Amino acid sequence: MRRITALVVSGLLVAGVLAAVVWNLAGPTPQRVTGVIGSEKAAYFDDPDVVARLADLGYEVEVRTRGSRSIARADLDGADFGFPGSDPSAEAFQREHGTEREYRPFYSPMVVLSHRPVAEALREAGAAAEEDDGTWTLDMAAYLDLTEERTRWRDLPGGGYEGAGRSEVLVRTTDPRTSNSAAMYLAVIAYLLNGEEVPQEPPAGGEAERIARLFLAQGAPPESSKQPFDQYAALGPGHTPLLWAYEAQYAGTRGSGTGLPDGAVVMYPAPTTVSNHTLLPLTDAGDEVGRLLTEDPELQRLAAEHGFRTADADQFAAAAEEAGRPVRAQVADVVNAPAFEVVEGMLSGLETAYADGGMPAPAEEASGIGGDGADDGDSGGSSSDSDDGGGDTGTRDPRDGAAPARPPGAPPSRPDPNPETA
Amino acid sequence: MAGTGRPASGSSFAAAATAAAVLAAASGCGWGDGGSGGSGELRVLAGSELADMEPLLERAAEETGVTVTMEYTGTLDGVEQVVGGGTEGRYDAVWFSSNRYLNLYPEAREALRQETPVMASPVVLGVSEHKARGLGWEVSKGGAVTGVSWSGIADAVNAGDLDYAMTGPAASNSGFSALVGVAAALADTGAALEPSDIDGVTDELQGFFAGQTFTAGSSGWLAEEYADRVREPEGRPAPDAMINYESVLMSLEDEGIPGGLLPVHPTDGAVTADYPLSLLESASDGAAADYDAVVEHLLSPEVQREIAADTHRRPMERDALPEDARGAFPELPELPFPATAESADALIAAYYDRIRKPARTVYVLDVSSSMAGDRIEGLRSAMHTLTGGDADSIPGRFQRFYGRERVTVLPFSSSVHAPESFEVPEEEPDGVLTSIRDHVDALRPEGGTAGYDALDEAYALLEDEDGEDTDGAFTSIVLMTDGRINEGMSFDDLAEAHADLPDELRSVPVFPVVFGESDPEEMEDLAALTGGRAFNAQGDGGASLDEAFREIRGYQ
Repeated sequence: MRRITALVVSGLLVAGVLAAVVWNLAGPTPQRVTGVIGSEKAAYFDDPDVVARLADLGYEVEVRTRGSRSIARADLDGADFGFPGSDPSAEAFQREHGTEREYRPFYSPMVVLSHRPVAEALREAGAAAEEDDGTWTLDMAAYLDLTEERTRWRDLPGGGYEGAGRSEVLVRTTDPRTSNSAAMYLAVIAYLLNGEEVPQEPPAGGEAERIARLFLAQGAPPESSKQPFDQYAALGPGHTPLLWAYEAQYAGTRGSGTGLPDGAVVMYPAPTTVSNHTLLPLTDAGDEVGRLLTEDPELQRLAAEHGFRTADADQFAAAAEEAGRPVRAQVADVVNAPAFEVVEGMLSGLETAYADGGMPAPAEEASGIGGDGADDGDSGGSSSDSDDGGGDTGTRDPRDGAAPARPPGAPPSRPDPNPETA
Repeated sequence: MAGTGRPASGSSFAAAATAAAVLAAASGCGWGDGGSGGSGELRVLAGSELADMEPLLERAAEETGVTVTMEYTGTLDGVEQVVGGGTEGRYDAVWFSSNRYLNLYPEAREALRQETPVMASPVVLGVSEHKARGLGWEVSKGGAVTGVSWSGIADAVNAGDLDYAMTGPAASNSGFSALVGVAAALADTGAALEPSDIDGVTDELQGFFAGQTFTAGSSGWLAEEYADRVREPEGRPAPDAMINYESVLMSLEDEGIPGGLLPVHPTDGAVTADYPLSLLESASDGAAADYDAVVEHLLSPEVQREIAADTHRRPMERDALPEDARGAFPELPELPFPATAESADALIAAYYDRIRKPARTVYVLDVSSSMAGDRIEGLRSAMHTLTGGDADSIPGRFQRFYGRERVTVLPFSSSVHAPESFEVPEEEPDGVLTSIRDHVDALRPEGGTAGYDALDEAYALLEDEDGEDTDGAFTSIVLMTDGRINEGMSFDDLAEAHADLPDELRSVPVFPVVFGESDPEEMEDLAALTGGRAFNAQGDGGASLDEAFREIRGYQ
């Protein structure tokens, strides 16, 4: 008798579960929203927890990845939003689509990933310092001096690093022609070579050659930011002594392939720059997803676990601490990216350099690239007018030299008197 | 297949590719239907060295529900297919030992959506323990040679103490990686090689590559032939060493070579293959989902561990190996790969035209009556490719006859016709290349098929030839016949004659082309007898002859 009751009860239970499942399936289907994003955010959107949370909120987001540089110009095929990883790309996107709204759910400073013996050799050479928080600072000006002299790892003053064979001291980057991460490196280098000012036009002559060499001397560049990271993580300090990367690649612990090698260290370049992930809605649905990514605490928490910095600094710090990965609480020494036209000009100079295999062509060709869109005046005559002379930033439209805005909690930009970085 | 019918102008070609891409985008390669499920099949164009992954892929199919269908090709032909858009719609992904060369071409870069390195193996020299100790090299407990640089290897070659086998860099990624690595190491600029660096290092490279006494178009075949020669030299002793993927060197012991070859881990580094499984831009959303599933499976710690154990490639997940197994894979500096196609191509051209020992080939060509029509046309067109007629395709550029190469054309039908030899000059080769083309164009089919008489004559020609250092060239014979050899010497007669040849000639490989009604088994036997390799050209009409002749170039 009791047994029969039990059977009936469990039968009812099964029926209840089934009913719940059926009810759920029949419930309101999430709205499909499509976006074109930089590949560095693909793992976030692929994360089942992110997918589930968005579904709870009523959305199914389908993303497609593109180089940040081409997002602005790509045929978006009716996408609801674009989500590039840099200010110049965001700026170009808004101009291309005539939109203004934007969301900045999270950002990521650029870092250099290294290995302890490599970092120590750089410290002995006076180009790096270990900080109390367990992170390192890489003096980019000192680094540039080393590359100017084509210093080899083994010849570094102070003893050198033997594990890298006879190769030159060089930071490994992605391909500047297609990848946002390398364009960020370019922004920092161009700033330093321009006398610590954000360049207002693409460098020419010897400066352009120096920039080109920093990329070409690395040899064949990897396409995306994931591949060199995998190589850095798997193949040791001799293979990749220094890797230019998003801080999120280092701090993020969700998803596969996020393991770090033994003795990994994170170096904050001084100065560095920040990848501002900017969601640019094209439809109401895209707008709503942008709002949710920015405001929903759960989505923000997941972003922090993917290594991105969100408005709530503690969230990121807590996630990094839990993962045992030291990070810098406040990244202070930051430069802005140049305007889109300037970046484009520099990149097409590099394109020529890669195609020629030799010296980059003079940069004057570059000017046409950004300017062919309908210029409704507010972006200024930025690119090519030679009488527009280099130095005086004060008379320019601010958009030429600087990012439109900083994300919440983002550090201040240079030039900011900054005693911390000596 | 690849390389045929390629438009002559690079730019019109690029325009066509762009137009195709735009069309694809317009014709509803729009957003998926929301489902993320794939079709369960991932079609992959792969380098032949990845065939050893098949057992692991079968397991992957069981566990992920995605069947990976591999079709194999040579590295350069693969690059050509991606660059030329030939992969679009036919494959979902490509998988070569490295994408570095491919990525030097903008069209190819744009054709790839995502690249995931799955495993790694540096290209290094492998040497027997006995030889290593004889050279005074240090052998580590882990069974590798340490403390030796590439210039140290060059010193051993220059002293006459070391020769080695290596694949041709225009045909195979391992040879190309070795060339790039050696050039970077010997140029010693510390950075990626530029075209202007090549002249300065040519002498040293000549010294290094003087040690290359055996070549092939595929790293797998090179290793097999090497193993064969170690086991049964029969007048063809194996070289002292072999340049190949570390994984291939470490697998030799499994292939029954006692002690195998110890990898030399050069102090100045190596070029490492990282086997990126690469999703094509043209792949469907379903295929992309399948791709993700396969990649995730391959990168899981268990599978990474199996990859290391079964294929001796290095895992990409550092924790996959138990602590004590990591010693076999010491970390190596990475030598830089050229940043531009121009640098890479200049290096390959310099290697063939100036640096390595030149090739010397007798083309024994069937002009019997059955060759009339399409077949003789196919033969002519194949020779046109080799004389530089297809300079706009990547393979065409690298499979032409090179500077300093000696080409002898020996036609036969019922009898052996008069041979004609051509010497391709290092500079301005066009005149001689045109003469070769004209000569082949003038061949007229008639009569029977006395193939072995012709082969016997080819050996006699090589014997008579100048007598000057036959060691100084990569000598081979290509036999193209479209029918059963039915006049003159039989196969047994030839085998007998072959046994009596002096060692230098017995080690000259014959590359028979199986074509038309020729006897595949007998051609395989002929290849085995001479240490060569048979190539199948029994595809449609004469077009496949072109492919076979181009493939053979990798072995010459």
